Amino acid sequence: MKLVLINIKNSIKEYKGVYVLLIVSQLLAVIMLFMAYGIFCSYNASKQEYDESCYELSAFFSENVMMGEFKECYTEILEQVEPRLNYFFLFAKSEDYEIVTYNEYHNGRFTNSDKIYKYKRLKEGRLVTDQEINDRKNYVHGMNVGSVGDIIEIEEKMFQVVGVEEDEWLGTTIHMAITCYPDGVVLKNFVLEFEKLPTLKDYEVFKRVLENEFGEKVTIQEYKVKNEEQLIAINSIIVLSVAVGVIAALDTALLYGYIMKKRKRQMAIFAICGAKRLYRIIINEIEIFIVSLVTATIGFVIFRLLVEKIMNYVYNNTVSIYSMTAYGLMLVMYLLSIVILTTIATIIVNRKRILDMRRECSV
Amino acid sequence: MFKFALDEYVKNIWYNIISVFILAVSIIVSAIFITNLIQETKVYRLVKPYLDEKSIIINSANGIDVSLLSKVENTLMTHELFCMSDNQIGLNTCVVYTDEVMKIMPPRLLEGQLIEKVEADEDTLVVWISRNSGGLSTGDEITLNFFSATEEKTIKVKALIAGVIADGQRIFMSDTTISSNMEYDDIYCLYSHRQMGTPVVITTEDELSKIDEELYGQNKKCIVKFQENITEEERLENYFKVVDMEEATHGHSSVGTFPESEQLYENMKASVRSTIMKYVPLTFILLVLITVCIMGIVLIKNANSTEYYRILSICGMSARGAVCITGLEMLINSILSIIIAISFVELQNKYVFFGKINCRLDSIQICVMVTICLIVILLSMLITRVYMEPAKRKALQVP
Repeated sequence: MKLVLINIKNSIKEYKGVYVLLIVSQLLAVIMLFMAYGIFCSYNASKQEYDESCYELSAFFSENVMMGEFKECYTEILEQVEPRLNYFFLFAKSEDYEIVTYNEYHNGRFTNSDKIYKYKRLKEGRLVTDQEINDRKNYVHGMNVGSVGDIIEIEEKMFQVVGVEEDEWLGTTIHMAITCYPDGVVLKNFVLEFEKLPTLKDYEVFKRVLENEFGEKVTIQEYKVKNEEQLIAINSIIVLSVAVGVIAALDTALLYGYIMKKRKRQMAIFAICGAKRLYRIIINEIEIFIVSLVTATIGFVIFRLLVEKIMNYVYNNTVSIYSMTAYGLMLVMYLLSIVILTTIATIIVNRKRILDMRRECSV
Repeated sequence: MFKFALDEYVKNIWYNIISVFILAVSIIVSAIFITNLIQETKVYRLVKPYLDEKSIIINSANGIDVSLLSKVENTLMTHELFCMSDNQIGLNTCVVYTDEVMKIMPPRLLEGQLIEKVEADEDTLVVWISRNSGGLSTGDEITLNFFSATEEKTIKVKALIAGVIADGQRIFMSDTTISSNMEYDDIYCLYSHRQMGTPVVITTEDELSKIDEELYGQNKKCIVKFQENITEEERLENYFKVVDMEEATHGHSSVGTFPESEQLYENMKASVRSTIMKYVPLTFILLVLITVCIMGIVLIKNANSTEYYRILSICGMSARGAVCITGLEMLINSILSIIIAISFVELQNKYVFFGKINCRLDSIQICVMVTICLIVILLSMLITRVYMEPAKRKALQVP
């Protein structure tokens, strides 16, 4: 360990400029890494959010629109948009319950939405089957709805609970197929989620049918044309943030490469004095690791105290993307990459014959 | 000297390879950064000279004589012509781009080339087309039917397709939707054939001058900017003139349905500020990183070579010789990195390795690229010169 510290001290003395630059560039590389991670996450999230919003058409019902009225018109919409539709979502309220529906519609038949229910975890029981949906059985599953087999009453209609979801929050949510809704529940939200981008015609049908039926009681969200340019811009920033990491890595490699080259003489002398190859590599690696760890820690402290807040402010991150786990992972990956790369370089340097090592560093 | 410099270059090959890569990645990164910034602000740069808190936006300027308004400074008007094609693809609009629009907001092409680069007969209109149900693409010829603005007659024009424009981009064409919470860029249409179903063709004013007759247009959206010294009364007077003219022409006025220009202008400023703000950390990262990289390359180059050059200088090589060798090595590195960067940009645009990204090498990007290389070359030469000064030569220690 003493030898390592002497090495660091000598290096600072001998290659002052390069060593200072090495430390500064490592410090910056760590800060850049955190910044690039922040930019990457922020843009990636907005890309996904934007992308998803282009695939839906939604309507909000502002006044008391009953399900009975809605039943008259929804099939007309579904039949028109069916080729591109993934699933539809319905949100309604009764006096005691919040009711949601995630159903698909194909060739006049309703089924559970695979996309939504694939990962649903049930505490007990099962989901309502596709057959039961089309047979209009009054079965439901949900959260905080009692136990399997219980009968619940919604707007004068009796439903049997066939499955209970794991509790994720306190509220009561019932998953119900569109085919068995009671007429008296109040409709709040109707959303079509598309597999392919909805066309202007889909939107026009959606808007026309709902506005004809409900007039001012319904608010249709504006039609969104997918802005490819915005996605390209976000993609470019993501590529940029990755490229920043590549530059930082190349720069560190260049600076360490120089130190390694200059170390050849010292390695040769160690070898002449009887130091084994493994020992020589370990001395080098411990030195690099100590320097990297110190600079990475300082970089982390500077970023955490000064830059993180700015990043969250600039990119409007409502939830901080910089968790301690994320920091830890980035630092471990950073240190590991440096150790692996420099180990390879040190092995290459130490593979040569002692005489060649000595000769190479004499000019 | 040149041979010696090449020998030196080969001797330090690993250093040179890493330097070339660092320079190439820095050039590519700056090209992506600049292109992206240019793309993200293109509508703003187009609209900015015309939109302020006193401007008026007219949704359909057909039949509206802007010259009747007082104290008009300038106007930005979309130019859309009613046109149909013989191919039954549902075409009904030909958008005309002025030089200004072409310069600031050229359409993104899926394939093909710039209109001005295509050679065509005097009677053939060169156009871009959107994706279409007829499968028309670059090189195809179509017949466009325009309508005369003065007489009731159809004007048949032969058109050559120079390229196909990509879906999902803003084009200089009126958007039919107006809402109270619209942004400045919503003035122009976000076009996608896949979603909207109707194709469009785009041509330039120069091309359109091939047709001698005045053609019938539609849905012209116009931003009218007034002079600085216009009073609120004069502005209101203009406003009501527009309302009257619109009602006389279309039976209704759309001026009032737009958000107040003051609100639109403030929104524009806020939106651009927010876009630019998002670039600030990235600009900082890139500037610092590229500076550190340049410093690293230059410092290591000199640390590697000066000791050796000093020995050579004792043997008779002049300081200028050492400076030239350094300059030559760095020139080779710069040229190689430029070649790599250009190849990357070309290949990326052709094969889309990293998905669709904004990456072009236009004049600004080339200037930045050359500047980075020049800084590296000159700085290396300068530092070599400093290290090779006679006073420093005395301090030579041969290991």
